[in-house]
Amino acid sequence: MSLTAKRASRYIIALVIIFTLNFVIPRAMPGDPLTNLLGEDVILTDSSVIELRSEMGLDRPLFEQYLDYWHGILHLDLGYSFHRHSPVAEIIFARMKWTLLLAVPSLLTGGILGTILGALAGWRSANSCQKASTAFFLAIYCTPPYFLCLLALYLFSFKLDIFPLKGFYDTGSAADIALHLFLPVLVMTLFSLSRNYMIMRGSVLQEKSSLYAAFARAKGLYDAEILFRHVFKNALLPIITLLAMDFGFILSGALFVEIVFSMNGMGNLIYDALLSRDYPVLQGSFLIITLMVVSANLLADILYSRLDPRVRWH
Amino acid sequence: MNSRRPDDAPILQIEDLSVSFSTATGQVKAAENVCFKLYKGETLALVGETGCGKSVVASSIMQLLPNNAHIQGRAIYAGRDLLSLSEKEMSRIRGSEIAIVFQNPSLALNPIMRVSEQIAEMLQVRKGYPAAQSLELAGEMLHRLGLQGDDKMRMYPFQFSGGMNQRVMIAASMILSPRIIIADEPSKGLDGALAAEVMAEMARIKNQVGASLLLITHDLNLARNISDRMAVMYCGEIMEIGESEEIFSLPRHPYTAALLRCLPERGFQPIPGPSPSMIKPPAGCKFHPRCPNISEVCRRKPKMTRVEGRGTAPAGSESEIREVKCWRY
Repeated sequence: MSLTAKRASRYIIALVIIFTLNFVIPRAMPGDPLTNLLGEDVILTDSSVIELRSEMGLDRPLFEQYLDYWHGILHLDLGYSFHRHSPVAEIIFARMKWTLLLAVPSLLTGGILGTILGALAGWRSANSCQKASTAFFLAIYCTPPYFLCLLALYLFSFKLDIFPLKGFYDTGSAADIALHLFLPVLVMTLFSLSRNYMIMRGSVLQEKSSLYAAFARAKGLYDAEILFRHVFKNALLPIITLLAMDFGFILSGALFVEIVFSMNGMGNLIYDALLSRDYPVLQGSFLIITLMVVSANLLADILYSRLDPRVRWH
Repeated sequence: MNSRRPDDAPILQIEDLSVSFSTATGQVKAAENVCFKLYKGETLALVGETGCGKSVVASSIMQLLPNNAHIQGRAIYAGRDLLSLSEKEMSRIRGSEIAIVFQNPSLALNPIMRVSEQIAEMLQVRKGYPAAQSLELAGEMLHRLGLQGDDKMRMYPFQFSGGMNQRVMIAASMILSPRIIIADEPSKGLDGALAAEVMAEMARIKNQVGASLLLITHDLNLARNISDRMAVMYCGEIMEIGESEEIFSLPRHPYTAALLRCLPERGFQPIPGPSPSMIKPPAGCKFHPRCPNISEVCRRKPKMTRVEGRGTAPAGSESEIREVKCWRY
């Protein structure tokens, strides 16, 4: 347990550094920090500039500002967007739940199916059926997710008219949301599945020639028993690390998917903020995404030590 | 040690076993026309230098060789040829009927699974025992091999020494009471005293369950101490087979004699000449380029020939038979 605490403290230090950078950058950037904090396209009168500057504490010493900044973060205050006329935290949390609705089911199915199918592909690598499936997932793996989105939209929504073209919902009923989410979740699942598939396949290929797999066979275990009792868990270890490192990449994939499907989640929020130079929203979004990536890494670390006793003891 | 009666049929009969591997540099002939019989309750040692093909013989009996191996010949066990069985049929033989102890025990155990579970799983998979009962039996087996205590049950292979892992492997090989145990270089990586101790325990349990032991080793003294009979391999062929004590006191084949002279207590003399290529072995008797008793006839292949034993074994028993592959007999 103290080991978990030790690990957690490492991640907390990382977060403190990232949050501090987030404080430093707008103040160190060339130009007026007020512009850097509010966004470039916000038009202000001279009197409101002075008023805002004192309201945001920019006329006070840096250290006081820094303490203030942390006070804000701990109270979930991520600043105010003058473009959207509402607090950044509110905007982000309203959007984030939709992005999670898209990303979490895709990541889970992609993770579970990808490792199982990849393990079977690595285990029966000589089988022509598995070779075909490897070729298929390799093609998916190499295709950018937004292109897959366009293909899916064109085929299923435009030509076949099975699924709606855009958005998260029309009426807001569960069935309606599910219908809207089907294609994006499918693309995201394929995207994360293909990545896990390729890594797991390579990992199993490597592990199956190990001596412990040969001994499992010598003990009288048959075929899939060796895979799922011995090789699978060992092959999963590199996957967990890669999954955590991949998390940010997959999240950015989700943002692209949202943009193509015109869904009002984090992806479109960040995209619009970029175009209108709405810095508070951008910074807030990056902080939240950083927090998620770091938590994913912490989770992977804990999971790894659950699976591998060697990490627990050394 | 020898509990065998003269009329016993062999439990395992290897007939004309030849194994070669396709490699980038050519066909490696790892074993050629290997024949021997293993009787109930006996210990047969397969000895020879590293790379002479001993382990290949062991692995081919278990069908554990990689895909680039070409196997010919027969391995008759309980009326069936093991070499022609399917993978599914073989999985019922492995561990339950014939068990193998690998060299390199610390790599052969699954690094992220408790040792007790690695033994217990055999009972669960092959006999359908419930988890609790199989763990209890695994604990008993570990106890018999000198690994007592609940803490040992909960250990992982990386927490054990090489010797302790070797005991775990031996426990795993015996848990299903197989009729044959193959030990592939069990003393490798262990120091002399520990190897002797582990082997003594193995021999004791083997005798308790009445299994036969095929011991693969390059350690001649270990082979002499625990085996009833001995087969000497050179370059993929068995050169001489007979009672261990007899082979030690009166080696018939020039290679056996040369090998025994390598022992520190017997002069520490290396065999002159280089080890032969396994891809293009010498024609005729494979030992002839290094043999002190070479003659013209050695360029042709000698046959396995029966010679008179001195008769320490019961009259008429198979073990009396001494066979040598040399033109001098």
